[in-house]
Amino acid sequence: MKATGVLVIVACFAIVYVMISICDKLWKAFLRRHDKSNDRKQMENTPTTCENLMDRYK
Amino acid sequence: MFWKIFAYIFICGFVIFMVVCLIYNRNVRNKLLDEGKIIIRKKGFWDMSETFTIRKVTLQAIYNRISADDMKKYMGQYELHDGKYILFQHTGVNESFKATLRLVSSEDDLNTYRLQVDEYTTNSSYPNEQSLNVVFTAVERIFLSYDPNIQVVTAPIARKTTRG
Repeated sequence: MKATGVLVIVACFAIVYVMISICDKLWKAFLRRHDKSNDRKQMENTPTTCENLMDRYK
Repeated sequence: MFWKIFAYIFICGFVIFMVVCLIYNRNVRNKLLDEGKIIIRKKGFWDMSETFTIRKVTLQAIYNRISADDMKKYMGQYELHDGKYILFQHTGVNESFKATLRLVSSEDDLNTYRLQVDEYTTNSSYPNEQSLNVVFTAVERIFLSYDPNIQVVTAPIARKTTRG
């Protein structure tokens, strides 16, 4: 009975550990894709400009 | 009872600490603005490169001017590398950056310089905005002192974000 209880607890920990690992990997993959898309968007949405530098200091 | 008092003191202490930090940061920022060491810039200026074309101004001369201003306490370390670029480097607790002012071309007396943040690390979304602002402002003011009509070309930098 006692051994079964210990086994169940160990199994629960193992399941939680595996689930957290999978979630962590998915989350990091999502962030990497998000970063890539953000980097690309920033390049596309920001135009190159030429201005008189003094205008910033008026 | 003890834990309630402890929690109360802890929360109050945390809030007071945050308020003091915010006030201190605002005061430092206002002081830098008043002294002209920074200007108000658009968010994300660190993701843009600035290109200046100027006649008869060497990188060594710019470096000497930066050194004369003694801005180390605001912008971190800076040094001239082989007469080709000035590296501005800042390493904080949770963030760091490396910015360069590089001589990109030189024809006759006409020199083209590019100022950009090559890389930065941060725990939040933003790098150390204030130190970067000091670097950009110092460099821009030096160029303006040589040529008040100087043009600046601002272009986005192709960034590649990586996570540790």
